[in-house]
Amino acid sequence: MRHALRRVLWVVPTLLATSVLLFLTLTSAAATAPGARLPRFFNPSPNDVRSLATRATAHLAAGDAASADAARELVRLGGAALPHVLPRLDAMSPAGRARVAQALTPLAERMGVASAEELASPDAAVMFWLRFWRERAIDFRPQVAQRLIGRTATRASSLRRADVQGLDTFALPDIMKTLGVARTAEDVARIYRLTRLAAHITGNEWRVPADATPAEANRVVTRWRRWWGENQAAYVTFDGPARLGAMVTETRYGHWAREAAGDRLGVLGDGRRVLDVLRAQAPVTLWLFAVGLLGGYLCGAVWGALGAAFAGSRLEAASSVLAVSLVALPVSVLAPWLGPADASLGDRLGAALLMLLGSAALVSRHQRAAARSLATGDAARTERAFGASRTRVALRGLRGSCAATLSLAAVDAPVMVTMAFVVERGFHLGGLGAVTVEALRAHDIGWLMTLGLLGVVGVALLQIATDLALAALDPRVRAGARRARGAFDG
Amino acid sequence: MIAALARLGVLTLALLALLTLFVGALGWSDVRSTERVEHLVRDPASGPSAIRVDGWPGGPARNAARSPAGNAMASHEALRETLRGLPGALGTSAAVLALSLLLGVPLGVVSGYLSPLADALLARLVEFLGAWPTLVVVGVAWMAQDRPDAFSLIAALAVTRAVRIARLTRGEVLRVGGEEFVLAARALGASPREVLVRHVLPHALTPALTAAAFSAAAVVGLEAALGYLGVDLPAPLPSWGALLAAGGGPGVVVWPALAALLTTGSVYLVALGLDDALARRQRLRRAPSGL
Repeated sequence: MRHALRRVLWVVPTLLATSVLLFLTLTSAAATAPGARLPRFFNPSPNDVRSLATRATAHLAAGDAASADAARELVRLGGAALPHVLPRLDAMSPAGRARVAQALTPLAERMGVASAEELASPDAAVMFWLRFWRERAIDFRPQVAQRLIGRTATRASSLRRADVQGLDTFALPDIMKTLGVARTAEDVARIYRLTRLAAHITGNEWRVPADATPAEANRVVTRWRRWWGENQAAYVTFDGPARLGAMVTETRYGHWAREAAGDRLGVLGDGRRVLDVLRAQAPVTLWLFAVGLLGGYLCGAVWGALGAAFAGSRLEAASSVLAVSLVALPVSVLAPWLGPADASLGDRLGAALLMLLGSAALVSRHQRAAARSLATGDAARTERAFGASRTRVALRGLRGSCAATLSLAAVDAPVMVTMAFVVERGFHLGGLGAVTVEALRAHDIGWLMTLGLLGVVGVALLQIATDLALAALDPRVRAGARRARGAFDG
Repeated sequence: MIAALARLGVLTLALLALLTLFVGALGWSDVRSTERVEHLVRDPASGPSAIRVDGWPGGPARNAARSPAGNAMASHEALRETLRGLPGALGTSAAVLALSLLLGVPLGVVSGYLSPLADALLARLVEFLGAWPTLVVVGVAWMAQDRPDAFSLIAALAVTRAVRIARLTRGEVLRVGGEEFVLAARALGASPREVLVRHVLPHALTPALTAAAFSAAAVVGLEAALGYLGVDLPAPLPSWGALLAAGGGPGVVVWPALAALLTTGSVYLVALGLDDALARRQRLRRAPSGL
């Protein structure tokens, strides 16, 4: 038991290490996965709005070939970039200053602070932005944005909306923080107001209709959160500890971990949350897997032991033919033939029976081989000499002979899961198989990571259960463990 | 009894191998001749990826099986496709057998006999690979390629099977390493390499060979299962699983089913015979000499 507890405690670091290894494998395989521009695990110089804005401003001021892209970048960065651009205008050359000021014209229109006509000439644009910063610099502080968003979330007016629009992307961190979860009509109204603002600022048309249900509102919020998870570095500044944290979080692994931790293990390509899909569809696969593993191993062990006990008889021949037939007819052949058209309780039982038979046939071979030496051993011969039947001898020897078979349970688990996927497809049961194939096709790292991590936990628990079962079944294992502990304790 | 069944298996395998040569001689492996069938069993929308998605449950594959008036495949086409799939199934199986032995046995020996580090690494590898269903291992191998080929399927299957063989070999190496004849050889001054090659390996290879033979049978079934799920052999190689998934009525499905039954069954019988023969030989070795 102490050994089992130690193994359980080791699951957590193993899980962390495995998640890193899994991520490395999957991202190496799926080169086209989203966010591929970021480093995998460590980002020595994470980009934030300050670095992006400084770079774009430098290109614009120099008037080099990248000026056009830099102008677009400045508009994308929006209000969040202004505290890093406008204070430097004075220090630039007149021509560079003019180029930067004119590049900001679309932003001024979006913020509703000036029109394109007003900023048509370079001098007017420079004058406008210098004046703007003198008068409004005090508004570009986190406390102001927080207060404004708090007020707009509770009750919006055109004046409050204009104030938030005047901050532009500088207000985005607080908008995203305040979105929350929709449970009541009041929550929906808040999300309606905030998503309208976010849509205006970013140009992403993900708005919540005024009469939306909480579920609809939550779907839109999920979309915004996902977008924010991938793009927030462009709108926030990393200073001090935040910069150290960003070295890890502003990576592909960090993005995945943040999404998985903050949004029910992440979102699938079709918008469903991984946890919701698992809740809805995992029971089918787990049921088939459990039947295949527990039922298959139990029946297969008895089957194999009896086969070995009756070696050379007609019963053994019949048992071998049945086992060969079941193994030779793969589940993929049987499932489509036996699988009915609609999913019902009868279908689930039929699917479970198919899993049971397929798994038992495989296990019976291992067990037959393990029981064969025991069936011809001295103990079995003595029992037979005292008049015990072959069945009795086989079943009494089962405890001793099933150790080798049982130790293969964890190794067989991946094959058993694939078998469950085939059966659930043949029987039209909505399990995890369909989602997994779709995830493989779409290179959906989130789903595959979840599946892999669940697999690690499953295999670890299965190994612990196998060890405990072995100790319970075989006194020699218990004695060996006791001896080892004694030696360890000194 | 087992020996008779094994002989039957060898005979069937020989017939299947002849049939493979026959398929080659008829020129059925010509890609152009199977254009229509490829269209039927593969989803053109999936592009270069070999992973098909037909939206199960109740996807187009099932619908095709239920309404043969649509684009269902004729029985003779299915037979030809099944025969075309024979070299692929046998070749995959043989390649996986060879590669898994090549990978698994050295890994098991190193882990059990030479290096504790390799032992720890093998344990972690088993846990890592054990975490993923075989379907995902193959799928991930294909994700890495722009145009997936048969080798990635073989490599992925071989790795999963090699882990099993390595574990078995390691267990046997550890067991045999403690036997009296090995200790005696060491006491007589044999080098570790000599002990390994002359005394440990011949005994430790038995379960590995048996496991590899059973793996070969399992691979045929596994390949059909993967094809059925949509992760099949890349075009133009036909997969029995894909044919089963395409459906089209009993006249169509019977051929890949029969082929899978005969191939898996015969390989399994041969493996069973090998297992039996090797076990008998081992029992004879261990029996008292009668002196």
